[in-house]
Amino acid sequence: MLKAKLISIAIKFIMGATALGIGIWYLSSSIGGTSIGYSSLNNFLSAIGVQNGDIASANGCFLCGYIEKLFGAIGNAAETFWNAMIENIWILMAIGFGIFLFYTTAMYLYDASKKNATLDAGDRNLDFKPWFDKIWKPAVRVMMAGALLGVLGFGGTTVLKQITNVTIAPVMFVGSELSMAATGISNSAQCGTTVQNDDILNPVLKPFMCVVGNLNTVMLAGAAGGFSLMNYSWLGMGGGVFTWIAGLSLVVMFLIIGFNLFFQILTIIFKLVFLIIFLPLIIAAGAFEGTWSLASGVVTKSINMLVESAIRIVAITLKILITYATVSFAADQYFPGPNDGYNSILPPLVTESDKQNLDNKTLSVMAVFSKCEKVATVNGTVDKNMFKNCFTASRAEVERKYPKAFDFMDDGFEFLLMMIGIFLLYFYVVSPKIDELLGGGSEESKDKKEKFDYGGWLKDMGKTIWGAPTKVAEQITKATEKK
Amino acid sequence: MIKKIIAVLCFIFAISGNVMAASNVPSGDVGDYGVWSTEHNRELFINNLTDDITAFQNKFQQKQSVKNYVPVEARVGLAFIGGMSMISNILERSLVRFITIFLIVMFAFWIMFESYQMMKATQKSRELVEDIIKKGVLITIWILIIETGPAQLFMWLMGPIISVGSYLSDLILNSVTSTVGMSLPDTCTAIHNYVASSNSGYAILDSAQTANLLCIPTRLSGFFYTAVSVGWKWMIAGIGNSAFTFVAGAAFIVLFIYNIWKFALMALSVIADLFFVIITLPFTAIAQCFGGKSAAKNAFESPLDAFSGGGSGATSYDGIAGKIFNGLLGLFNSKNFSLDAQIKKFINAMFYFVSLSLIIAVCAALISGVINIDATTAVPTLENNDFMTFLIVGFLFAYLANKAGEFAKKISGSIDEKGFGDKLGGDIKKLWGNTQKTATSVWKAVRGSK
Repeated sequence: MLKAKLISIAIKFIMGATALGIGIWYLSSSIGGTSIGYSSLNNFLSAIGVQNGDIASANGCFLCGYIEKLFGAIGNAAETFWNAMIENIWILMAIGFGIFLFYTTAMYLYDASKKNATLDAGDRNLDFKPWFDKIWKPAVRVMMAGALLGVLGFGGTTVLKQITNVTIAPVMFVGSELSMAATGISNSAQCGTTVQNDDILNPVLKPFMCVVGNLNTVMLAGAAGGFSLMNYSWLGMGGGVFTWIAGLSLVVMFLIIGFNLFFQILTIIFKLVFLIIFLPLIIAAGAFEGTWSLASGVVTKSINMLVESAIRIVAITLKILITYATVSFAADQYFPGPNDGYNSILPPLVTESDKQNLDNKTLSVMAVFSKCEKVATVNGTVDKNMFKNCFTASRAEVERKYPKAFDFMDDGFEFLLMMIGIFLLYFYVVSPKIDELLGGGSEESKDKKEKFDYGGWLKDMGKTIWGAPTKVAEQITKATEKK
Repeated sequence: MIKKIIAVLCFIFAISGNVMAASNVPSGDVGDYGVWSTEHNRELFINNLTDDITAFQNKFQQKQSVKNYVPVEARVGLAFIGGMSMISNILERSLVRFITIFLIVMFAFWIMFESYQMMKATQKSRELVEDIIKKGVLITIWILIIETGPAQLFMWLMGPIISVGSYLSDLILNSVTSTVGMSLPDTCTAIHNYVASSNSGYAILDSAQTANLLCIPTRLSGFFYTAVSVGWKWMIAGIGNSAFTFVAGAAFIVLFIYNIWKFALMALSVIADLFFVIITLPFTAIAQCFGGKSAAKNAFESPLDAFSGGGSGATSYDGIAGKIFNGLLGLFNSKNFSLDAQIKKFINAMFYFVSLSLIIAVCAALISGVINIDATTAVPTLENNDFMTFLIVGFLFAYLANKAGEFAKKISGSIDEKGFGDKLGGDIKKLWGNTQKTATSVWKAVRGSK
C-alpha cells in the first residue's frame, strides 16, 4: 500500500513538474538566445522574433498560427451558415408575420363582432384603424429586417466582412490600442500583417492577433526578467540560490497569469464569432420584438454582449499591464536601485519613459550591460559565454571606481519575497478588483457563471486530461488495496 | 520499483546540489546492504541543515531587526502604487482622447434621437433646446476635466481626505501604544525616507501621502518579523532534538507571515480601489453625461444631482436605435462608475484605514505583554521565551485581522472587503484540507505497511 501511495504521489509530482516544465520550455524557446537583460526594446523584440514591427509575428504569440487556421475554418462555416440562413429566413419571417397577422385579425374580428352583437343594427360598424394600429409597427419592422437581410443576401461575403469590420473589429481594437499604448511597441495597424487569408473573419483576426501578440510580449518580457535573474546566478555573475529561485518564481508567475488570461480572451473571441454567425437570426428576432416573448430582448442582449466583450478585453489588458508595471517598479528598487526608472533585468516596456536622474554609478552599470549585450549579440541573439567574458572584464573596471556596484544581484531573497507578494497581490487584489469593476469573475458574479465560457471549459478539459494518469494510478491503487 | 524511484530522486537532488548552490543532501556513506540512513549520514544531514538555517536566520535577523528596516510588503506596496500610477498615466494619454471623441459623437446621436422624439411625441421644441444646451455645457465641463488631467485634479480634491485618514490612524496608534507604554519600531520613518528617495516620476500621490498609506498596515511588521525570526531559532533548536519545538517554530513562521501579508493585502486592496477610481474617471464622465434617468432636466435644476447622482440622462427615444444607444451607454451607468460612487469609495477607503489602525492599535496593546523593546536600538525581543503565550496572541492577531473588514463596515457603513477575505480564507481552507488529506493518506499507508 505504501508503494502504491508513493507511486501515486510520484505520478502527481511528475505530471505537475512536466506541465510546469513544458510551460517554462515554451517561454524559454520563444526567446532567442540567452536572456540577460535588454538595453533596448528593439533588442528584446528581435530576440522574440518580431518581424517588421508586427507584434503578432513574434515567436511567443501563443498558437497564433493555429488560430489563423481555426479562424479560416470558422469563417467558412459562418459563410455557409449565412447563405443557408439568408435564403431560408425569408420564409420563416413570412410565416411568422402571417401567423401574427392571422391571429391579430381573427382576434380583432372576434372582439369586434362580440361588441357589435350588443349594439343595434344601425350602430354596428367595423373600424379598421385600431386593427391597422396594431399591425403597422410589426409590419414595418419585418420590412426593415427583410430589407436588411436582403442587403446581406445580395452583398454576401462583402457585407458580412463589412459588418464584422464595424462591429467586432473595434471591440478588439480597444484592447489592442490600449496594450499598444502601454507597451509602446508599435501601432495596431502593424498587427497581423502576416495574415494572408481573405475569410470573412479576417477583420477580426488582425486585431485579435494584436491583442494576443501584445499580451504574449508582456508575458515574455516578464519571463525574460526571470530568466535574466536565473542566468546571473547560473553563470556565476552574481546572486546565489535565492536569486535563481526569485527568477524562477518570476517566470512561473508570468506563465500562470499569461496562460490564464489567454483562455479568457478565447472565450471573448468565440462569443464575438457567434454574434456574427447568428446575425441573420438576431435581425429576424428584432423584427418580432414586442410581438413574441421569445424574440424580446435578443437585440438588446446581443448589443450588451458586444459591449461587455469590449470591456472584458480592456480588463484583461489592464490585469497584465498592472502586473508588469508593478514587477518593473519592484525590479527598479533592487536591480540596481534606487527607484530611477532603470532596471537591468526586465526589457524596457512600460517604464522606459520613467528614467530620471540616473546617478553615475547606475549609468556605469547600465553601460556595462549595454556594451556586453552589443558585444555578445551574434545574429540577433545573445551568446551567454561572450556576455559573461565581457561582463567579468567590464565589471572589474567599474568596481574599481564604484566598489560593490554589482552587489545588487546578491539581493535575491528580498526580491523573491516581493515576487511572492506581487503574486498574492495579483490573485487577491488586482484580478478580483478589475473583474468586479469591469464585469466578470467576481465572487458575486460566480453564481451567474458564464453560459458560454469556451476558454474556461478548454482549461478544465486540459486539466482533466493532464490529471488522467494520476486518476488511473489512484484507481489501480484502490484495486490493489481491495485484493 | 520503489528503490528505483528513491534512487532517481536522490540522483536528482545530488545533481541539483551543484545547480542550486546549497543542497542539504549529504554526500555521505552507504551502510551494509545498501542502507542509506546510517548514523554518520544522519549527523551529517542534521549538521548541514542546522548550519544552513542558522546562516540564513542570522542574515534574516540582521536585515529585518534593524531600526531603519523597510518591510518587504511596504516595498511591494510602493511598487504597486508606482505601477498603478504608471498605468493611470498611460490611460490618461490614450483613453482620454478616445472618450472625448466618444462623448462628442454620442452627444450628436443624443440630439438626433431627442429631436425625433420631440417631433413624434412631446412637440416641445423650446424644452429640447434647453436640454441640448444644458447637456452641451455638462459635456464641455467633463471634457475639460478629463483633458486637464483627471488624476491630478481628483487627487487635489481627495488628497486632504487621505491626509485626514492617515493622520487619524497615526493618532490612534500612537495614543494607544503610548498609553500601554509601548514604543513602535520606527518602520514608518524608514518608509517615509525610503519613499521620499524613490517615488516614481509618474506618481499621482505625493511621497508623504504614499508613505502614510504604506505606514498603517506595516506598523506591526517590526514585531511580526521578530516573531518570524524567533520561529527560525526554534526550528534550529528543534532539529535532531524535539519535533515539537521544530513544528512550533514552523507554526510561528507561517502564522506571522500570514499576519504580515493579511494586513498588507487588506490595505493594498483599498489602495487598489483608490487607483481604480482614478483610472475609471473617463468612464465616470460617460456615466455622468449619459447615464441615469432619460431626461436631461436634472443637469442644472439640481447641479449636485447631475454631478453626484446617477447622471443627467439617456435618450428618451424608445426605438431600436434608442435601445442600442441606451444599452451601450448604460454599461457605464453602473454603481461602479458614477461620481457619487467614486467619491464614496475614497471616503470609505479612509474609514477602512482608520478602522484598520484601531485593530492594529489593539494588537500592539496585546503584544506589549509578551514583547520587550530595547530603548536604544528599538529592536523588539520576545519576553521570557514564552512561545505558547505568544503563539496564542499570534492567533488572536490573525482573528482580529479577519474581523477588520467587519469592524470597518460598522463604523463606515459600506466597506466591501468580504470578497477578498472570503477568497483568501477559502483558499487557505482548501490548501489545508488538501494537505491534511494527503498527510492522512500517507500516514495510513505508512502504518498499513508495517
